[in-house]
Amino acid sequence: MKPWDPVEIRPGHYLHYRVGSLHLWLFPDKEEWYGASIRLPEDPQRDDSLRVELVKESPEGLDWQRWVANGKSRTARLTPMLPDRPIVVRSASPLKMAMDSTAHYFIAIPAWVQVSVGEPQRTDLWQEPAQILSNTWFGDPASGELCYALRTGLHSGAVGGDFLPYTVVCPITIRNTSSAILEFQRLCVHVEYLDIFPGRTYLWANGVRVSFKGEEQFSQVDIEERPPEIDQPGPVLSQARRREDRSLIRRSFSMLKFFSGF
Amino acid sequence: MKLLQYLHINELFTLEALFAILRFLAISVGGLALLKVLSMLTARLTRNRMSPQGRMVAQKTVVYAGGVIVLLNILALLGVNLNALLGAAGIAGIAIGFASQTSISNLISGLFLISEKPFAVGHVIQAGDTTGVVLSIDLMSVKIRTFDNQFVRIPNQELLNSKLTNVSRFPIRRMDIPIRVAYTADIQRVREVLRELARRNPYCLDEPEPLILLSAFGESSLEFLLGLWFVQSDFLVLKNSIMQEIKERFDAEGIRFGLPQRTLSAAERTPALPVRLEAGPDPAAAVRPAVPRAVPSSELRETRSVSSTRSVSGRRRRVRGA
Repeated sequence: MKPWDPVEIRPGHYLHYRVGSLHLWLFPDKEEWYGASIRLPEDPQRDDSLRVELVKESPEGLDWQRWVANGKSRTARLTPMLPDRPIVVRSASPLKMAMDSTAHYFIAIPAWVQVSVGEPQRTDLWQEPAQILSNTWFGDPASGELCYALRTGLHSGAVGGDFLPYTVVCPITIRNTSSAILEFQRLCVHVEYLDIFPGRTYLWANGVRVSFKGEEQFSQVDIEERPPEIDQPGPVLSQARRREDRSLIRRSFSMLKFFSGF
Repeated sequence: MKLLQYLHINELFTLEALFAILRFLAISVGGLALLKVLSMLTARLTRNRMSPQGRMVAQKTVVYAGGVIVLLNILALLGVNLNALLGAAGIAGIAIGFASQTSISNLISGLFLISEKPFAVGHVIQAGDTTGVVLSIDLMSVKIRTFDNQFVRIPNQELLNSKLTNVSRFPIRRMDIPIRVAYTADIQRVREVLRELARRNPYCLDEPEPLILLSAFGESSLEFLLGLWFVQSDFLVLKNSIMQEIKERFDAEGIRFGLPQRTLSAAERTPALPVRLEAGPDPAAAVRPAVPRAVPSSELRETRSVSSTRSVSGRRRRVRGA
């Protein structure tokens, strides 16, 4: 069974998903569905960190939620989603980019999962993050925006322990088109506008191109139609949460001095 | 018939009288209906352009101004001399003004509050010992709903004259948690533990960074200040979770909280306070407080002295052995 494919649940069985430390159980009962989730302290980098199986028993003490979904389908599926807020990536040390230079990075974003039932007409039950990310604030304390903090940082290649089967690899190209050196430590990526594509190894998001234009720090952010062909990505697996503003002008960089006044 | 003639009832059913009644009905009923429509139109037109507070003020302005116009028209229709009425109203206004200084003060304070905009409908404010969500800002008072679901009306004058805190003006704020640890604690370790707890708690913002400050050397403890930034809506979950985590982690790390303690000492040249411990035949007797008595030092089996100096009320208190 492939984790992102629809699964028909045989009578007397539970559908069990493992997505990192997140475990989900699901079973249908007449026109209702019962679902439960729990987080277990396991090594998120285990080989079977993304797994789907039909089991005859579920652990005791689960907090079952009861869902009413019309139809008698016994099919359920899990769909990866990108987080519902922007992601702030922090590099380990301040990064300086010379004038007219370009850098390519990859970030590993832990996916959210959407639980849906029914086939072919799907009913979405609930969604939750595979890994709980810490909140962070990007911008001025009076007018910034709430984001998730990604502590895995900027990678020069899509390899390493941070890249897991349930993380979405987002390729980012940063270009300094200004006449000054660009120095930054934090980068805000609006992942709500990105689709997810299945690759051979990982999940992929659209490529993002950020052009820094000057000291005012307003950057041109463009989202490409597809990810690069590195991992031979397939057709879109999950649509972006928001479709509008595919070409964004956002304040994407934060200088080191930003919060130094505290 | 004589009675009808006497009462001039016949004159009431003239065509002119009928028109007057119709005009009266048209102005009063139609005017009120028009006011209702105008109020709804104002609400709709200002929905995306103004704040909830601005919308409320605009709506009330339309209703009150329109109401006055309708009333004046009705009075004019009834043949009331408006000039005389307005003149009388002016004199009455002065009299009423003197009699209702507080109300007028509230009214003017309300205008200041509306123009100054220190808070808006939906904000959480703290005025005196009352904290709650602002329900409405009216000309005379501000209505708030406290977190234990009580309705509180605060006169505008009172709000304007007192210190007012708008808790939810900005989207994020800092929660300051004073923490006292024993002097024996490793300061660096305490800092690391607090930093890690802040880092692990998902409700605590990564940026702005948590503030960890050794703020004072207290009487009985080292005083730390842990300042955690959070989103307004996460106040309760953060407070609950981080307090529990601090306690559990400190217990696990063997970091003792600073508890109030006082050390007594004998002054210079004062003999040490002798405390005698001896086993008696009755175990229950050992539990009872012993009556102090003078014991020659040669008789003492075990003597403990309590040391350190501490002055009470600016004068050194001497504790002598009995």
